Amino acid sequence: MTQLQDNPTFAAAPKASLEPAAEPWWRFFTFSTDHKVIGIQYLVTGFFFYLVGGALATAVRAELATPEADFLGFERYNGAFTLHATIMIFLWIVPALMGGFGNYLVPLMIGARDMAFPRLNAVAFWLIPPSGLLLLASLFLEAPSAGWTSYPPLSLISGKVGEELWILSILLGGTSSILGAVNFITTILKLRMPGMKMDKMPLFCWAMLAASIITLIATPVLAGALILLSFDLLAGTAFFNPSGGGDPVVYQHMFWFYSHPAVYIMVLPVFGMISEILPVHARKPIFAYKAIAYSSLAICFLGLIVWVHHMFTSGTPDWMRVFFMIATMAIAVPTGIKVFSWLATLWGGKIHYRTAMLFAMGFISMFVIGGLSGIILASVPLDIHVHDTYFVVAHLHYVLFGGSVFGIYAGLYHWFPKMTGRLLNEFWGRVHFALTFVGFNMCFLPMHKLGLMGMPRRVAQYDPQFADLNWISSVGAFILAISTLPFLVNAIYSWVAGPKAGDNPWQALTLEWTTSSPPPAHNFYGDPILLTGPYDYGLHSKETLDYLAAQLQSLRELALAEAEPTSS
Amino acid sequence: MSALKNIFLVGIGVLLTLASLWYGQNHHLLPEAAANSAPLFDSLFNSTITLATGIFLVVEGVLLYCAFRYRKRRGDRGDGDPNHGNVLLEIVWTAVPAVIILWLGLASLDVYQAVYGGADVGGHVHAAMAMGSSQETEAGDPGYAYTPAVLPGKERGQPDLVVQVQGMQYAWMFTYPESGLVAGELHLPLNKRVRLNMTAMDVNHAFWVPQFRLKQDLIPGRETHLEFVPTQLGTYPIICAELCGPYHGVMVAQLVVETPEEFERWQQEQLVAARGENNALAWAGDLHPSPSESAFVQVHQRRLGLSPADLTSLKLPKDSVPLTRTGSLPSAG
Repeated sequence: MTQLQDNPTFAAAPKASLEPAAEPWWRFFTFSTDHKVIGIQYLVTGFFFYLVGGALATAVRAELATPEADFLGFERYNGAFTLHATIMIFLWIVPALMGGFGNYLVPLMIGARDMAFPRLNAVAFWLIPPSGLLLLASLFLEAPSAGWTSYPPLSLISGKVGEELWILSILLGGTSSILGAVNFITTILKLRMPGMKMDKMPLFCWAMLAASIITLIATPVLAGALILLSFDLLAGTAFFNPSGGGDPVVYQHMFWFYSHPAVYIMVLPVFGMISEILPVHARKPIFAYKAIAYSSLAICFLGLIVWVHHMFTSGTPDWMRVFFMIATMAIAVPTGIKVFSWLATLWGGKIHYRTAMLFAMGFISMFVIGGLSGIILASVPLDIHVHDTYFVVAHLHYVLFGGSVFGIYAGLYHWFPKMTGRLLNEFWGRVHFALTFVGFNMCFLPMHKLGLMGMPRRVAQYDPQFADLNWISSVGAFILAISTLPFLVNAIYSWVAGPKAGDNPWQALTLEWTTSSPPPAHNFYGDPILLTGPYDYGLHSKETLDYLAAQLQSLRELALAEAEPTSS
Repeated sequence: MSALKNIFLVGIGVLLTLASLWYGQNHHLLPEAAANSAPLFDSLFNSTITLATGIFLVVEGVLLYCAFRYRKRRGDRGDGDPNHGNVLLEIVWTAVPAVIILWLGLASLDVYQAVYGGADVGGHVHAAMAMGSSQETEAGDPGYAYTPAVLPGKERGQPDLVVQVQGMQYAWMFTYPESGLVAGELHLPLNKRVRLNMTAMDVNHAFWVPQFRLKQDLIPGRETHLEFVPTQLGTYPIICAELCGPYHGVMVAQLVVETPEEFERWQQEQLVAARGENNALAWAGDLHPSPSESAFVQVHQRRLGLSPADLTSLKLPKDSVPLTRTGSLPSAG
């Protein structure tokens, strides 16, 4: 297996004539139907909004550095945390994972030429910029300030302009998600190359399938809730307004019917990416493929029946509290299966400490904490004390930052060479990881104690007994803000002038690494060929892999030679 | 060799267990316990923390062990061990978490029943505010009824004291129906079963006393309930835990747990104060500790630009007759 390094297809840079022309920059600003262009459009747009949301988070933490409301002030503070959460969820994590990695990787991994509905795909992406512009506009007109949950009646009296901009923005983003989900399900079920059975699919595709099913079932309910809320807001109806006989709790049910499963939309694709990244850099097959694949579906199903655990204090009847407690706890089982399988994948491996692997292992270590605090939140009597406190803020950031964002970074470091044809700088990658890891834990670990001791969330001003822990947390947030800079500079510089990556810098075995970096239009030279299983590390002899790689190389040359006369 | 390894593993297991047990009792993550619900919460919380610590140490320990033990050595270009599954292991790590959550589910149910059983916490729609529905039909609505099949609650009997709680932006109002007293802070007698009937006047609020480990939303158009027994003398904050507007963070009132005699005296004083303004003036200065003693209150005073003297004078209308929003501001601070 050592000879993989010397193998022309698996390691070395391709000959000049085989190198695809890089996408001209302006193509990323067009209505392109190429899933790879759309994937990068999602990722770059998402990252831009990540920086905006991060700036808002920094402002929130600056306000909380001292007990008094002396930085943003009361009104602006509520606008800042509302927009921070909305942007991070609807314009960064969901678009970057589903739209970005989903679009870029799914067709390549299953040997398809593109997504099933390329134009629909482009439409879905181009709904994101207006959605973002509406929220950015609200920053200057009137920020929505009822929290990202936007519970009525508060959301009905907190300013019509900001609230309606928020609703419209999420309706656009939600529509984009639904279109994307239809596309992913169809693509994964119908466009797999011949010979790729479902159980030969890379695990990322299983995760995308599960996340898309959730999106398709849950998002329309959120859209319904927001349209009804719009009527209450603008037309004076009383669906949720108690002064006209409406019930505000119904909104909470409809909202969480989407917004709890949304957590799995934001974390299942990450589970998938981690299942791809660990085997490559540990040089081992994924442990328990089937268990990981089916646990994604189990999470998909259970994730849809746990939403009331956000409402244990909302005057919820006893039977409902009990049912949703049990359902929520049950999710620990499929999640545990994944975590233990990942650990077993590392066990006995030969771990290469590239930045992608640091973030992937960082993901496991942080996500476990989020999972354990999630168990506490599932238990009705325990949740009642910590509900709506900083404990919840700590929990959700261990899931969505320690989980999702660590996972996105792992994915970016892992697939950047495939997307751009160039390698990121490893030294600055490590600096980025170290700063992120330290800043993240400083920022969010103290919040567990703050919540348990009595600090509610969403407050601009708090009891001075909490000053010290909040100060530590704010310092952590500033380190976290600074940590994005090494990545940003590294990514921009490497995209333009980084060292050439070659087809397969990590000697990985999934299909996307058998084509060039970046892949040509329609992804493969000739028809894609399944040479090995996706995780066959250590299973094939050096001779076999050499032979397969040589075959692939000659097929590519043949395909190019055939294409030449017609193309010129 | 193998025996040594086994002894080593058992040793690590014992250490992990001891560490988890120790941390479960010494985490210092909770405020003092001041009601009957709190020790029940604490014992469940401590057991959960013990388990969570154990799982955390095992997972992070294995991760760190792999990170060190299975790092790629210099010059090694080979692949790792191609092992890709082990049915027994998979069954174990499916079954163990399942057993743990089963235990936690049952333990939680137990505590839930002990704290809330029979208390009808699940709110029902308020007939006065919900158009077209009457109290009778609500009472018969199985959706809001408490389900004995799941939770055979204990017979509780009548509460010793009922207090009507109203939340509004950004103040609390407590009405004692027996005496007709309306106050901006909640006084409760020690070791008596208290029932709070709660509703919100404008937007959602939540009644939270961290020292009681109890929380319940106040929802406009619906009445929600809490029942508990205060077991510790002292003054505790009542914190609004549901976002209710820009000044949500300052919606804090005081809860005073006092002996039944002190509670009676307080009620009488309040009633006297409510009848005559002159009496009230005298009372406010003498008998009651100035709210400005609390550092938390000082913060709000500064924000509002108030001196302690202003605060005392502001306090009067709150405790006397018509409780208005401005009148109850000091209770928010």
